[in-house]
Amino acid sequence: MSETYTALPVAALFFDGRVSAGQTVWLSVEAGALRLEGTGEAQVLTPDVLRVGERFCTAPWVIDCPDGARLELADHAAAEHLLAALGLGAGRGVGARPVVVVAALLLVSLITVWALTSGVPWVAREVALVVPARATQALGPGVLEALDRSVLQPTTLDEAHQQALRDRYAQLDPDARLVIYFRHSPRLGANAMALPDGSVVVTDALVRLAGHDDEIMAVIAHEAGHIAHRHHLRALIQGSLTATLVTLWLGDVSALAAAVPSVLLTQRHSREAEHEADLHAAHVLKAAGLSPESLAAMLSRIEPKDTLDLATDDPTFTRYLDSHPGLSQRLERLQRAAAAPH
Amino acid sequence: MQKTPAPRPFCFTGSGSEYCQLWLTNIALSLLTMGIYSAWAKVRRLKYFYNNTRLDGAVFDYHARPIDILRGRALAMPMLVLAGLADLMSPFFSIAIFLAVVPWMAVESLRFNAAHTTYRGLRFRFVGSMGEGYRVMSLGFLGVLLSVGILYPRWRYRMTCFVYNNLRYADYEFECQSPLRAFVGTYYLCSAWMMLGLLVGALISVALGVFSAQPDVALVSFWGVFYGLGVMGAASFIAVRNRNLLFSHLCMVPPMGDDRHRFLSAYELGSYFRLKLVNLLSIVLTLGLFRPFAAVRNARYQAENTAWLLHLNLGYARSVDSDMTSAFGAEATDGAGWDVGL
Repeated sequence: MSETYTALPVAALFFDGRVSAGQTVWLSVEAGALRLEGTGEAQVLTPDVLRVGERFCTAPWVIDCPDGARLELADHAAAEHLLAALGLGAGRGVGARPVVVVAALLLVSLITVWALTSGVPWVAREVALVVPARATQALGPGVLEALDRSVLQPTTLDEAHQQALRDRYAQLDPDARLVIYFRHSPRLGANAMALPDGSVVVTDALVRLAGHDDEIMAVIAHEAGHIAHRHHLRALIQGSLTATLVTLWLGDVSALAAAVPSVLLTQRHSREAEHEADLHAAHVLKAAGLSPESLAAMLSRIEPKDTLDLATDDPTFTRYLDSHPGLSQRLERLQRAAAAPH
Repeated sequence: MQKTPAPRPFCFTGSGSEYCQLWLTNIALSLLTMGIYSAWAKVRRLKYFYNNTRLDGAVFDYHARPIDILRGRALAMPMLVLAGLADLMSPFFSIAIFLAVVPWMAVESLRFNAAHTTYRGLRFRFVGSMGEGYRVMSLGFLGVLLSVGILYPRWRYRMTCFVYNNLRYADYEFECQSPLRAFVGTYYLCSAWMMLGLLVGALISVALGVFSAQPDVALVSFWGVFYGLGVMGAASFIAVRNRNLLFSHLCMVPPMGDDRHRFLSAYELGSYFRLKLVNLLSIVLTLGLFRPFAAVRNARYQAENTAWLLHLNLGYARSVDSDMTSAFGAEATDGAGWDVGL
């Protein structure tokens, strides 16, 4: 197995693992074993006790010997010849091999893009659905209280009207068992939102703005969609996973550099959630014999500047930052849902 | 006559292009093996950096077995997931988990990584006790929270001392003699500079508001850039001053006698800031692909600006390991801690 080794001895630095002093030794091959000649008596080591390190262009090539000793070889070419004569693997050379680099780069890019656009949302969706409802109720129990202290005020609608709306929705969608709160909010205007604990808040302005009770039901159904699909939890999971992946890739270079892509991706995932909620509303309305056009009508009434929820049709860069899809996009999808047979 | 210390500068011989290939293949293989290869990747990466770090004619090395690293990571993963879930429930839980678990992970990692790092065939050791680790990290962190951040510089000082005072190389002990005042003073000085910076920023904002055609856009862009540069500048200021302080007061104490090896650190704010800024911009512009080059640049800067002041009176270091029974030291360091990815 070992070739006849007739080359000159190779110089190496030897450390015995007991003292930090290094000594120059001369390596040669004798009867298939490595012979070290230095100032003391010569050592002979069989290949099976040697471990050859990975070869790096600019670093000494390391061979680990028994009892913590080691050899550092500066002359890689001579070392390679020596190791071949011993029958030892040359160690994976790093060097520059363009094919490997390009292949690795392609693979990594593909996997990363897939993960961020499909993999992470899929995981978040599945995990959010699996987490029991009781756990999500624990999320932000104080959210309504906080909102009541800041932007919400007690409702100006009379109790009978509120109850009528609640009953109507309960008829439409009994399985949801939705808890609906009504509030007056000058700051939020005509708006509705789903809270993390599974309840829905509807503002008085929205109730008054609606042309028909069906439109109010449509908006509540949309919010119910957020709750049914666990969008809050999904957003939390997606956000953390996305941020983690982006930070891993861009590294601890700067939180700012890592934050921007995270935000862009999170907003995109949120737009998808809005579409899902719209579809859920369309489904609920159709099942109850109402038309999804009610939601479209309501959306058209609500003026963009009044609300947090809706995005304008402004076709600029800000579209990517909007967490909600443009109005015309939503109306178009709702019209399609209304026309669809199921 | 007292022999003057002979400076031995550190030298980093690695190159960005060589490391780039290693880095890409590491990531590609880690992704393909769902993270299992990451343990092997870590060993390869550290071997690359350590073998390319020259000091006084020899290089460093890293000897951990990937399987041990894998074991540590397999343990850490569920803990991280639990911590993430707990964070969803309440921030209180995640702080509690942080305080309970992170000191353990940090001390174990320090022990593991020190024990597997060698120079001239002799190992480093970390001898800090778990109890002290908890006192310094958890109690210290609580102190920082309770003092609303005022005790933060002092906490950082304590942690630095904890790490270096418990570090050993063969039969030498490291001793960190940085004065607390100077170390903490850096933070106060930095705050003063930042306040001055805010003042300047405010003046510029006023000017922009008055003279700019589009004051909103101008202000947002200005503050975005100003804030980013400011944060980087502050971080660089603290890093440079305290690193120089730490190393100029760090010494290696021999088993007997009064002489010490010392160190020299010549970090400079201008060059360090330029290094970090170029790294950041390049990483962002190349969507992360510059990272291996950035890592090499960092390593080179670190090496070029650090030197060992070798005291010529002191003899060689000697190993303190009682018996190194195996070729690769694996059994000898079994139980020397878990690597939990820090």
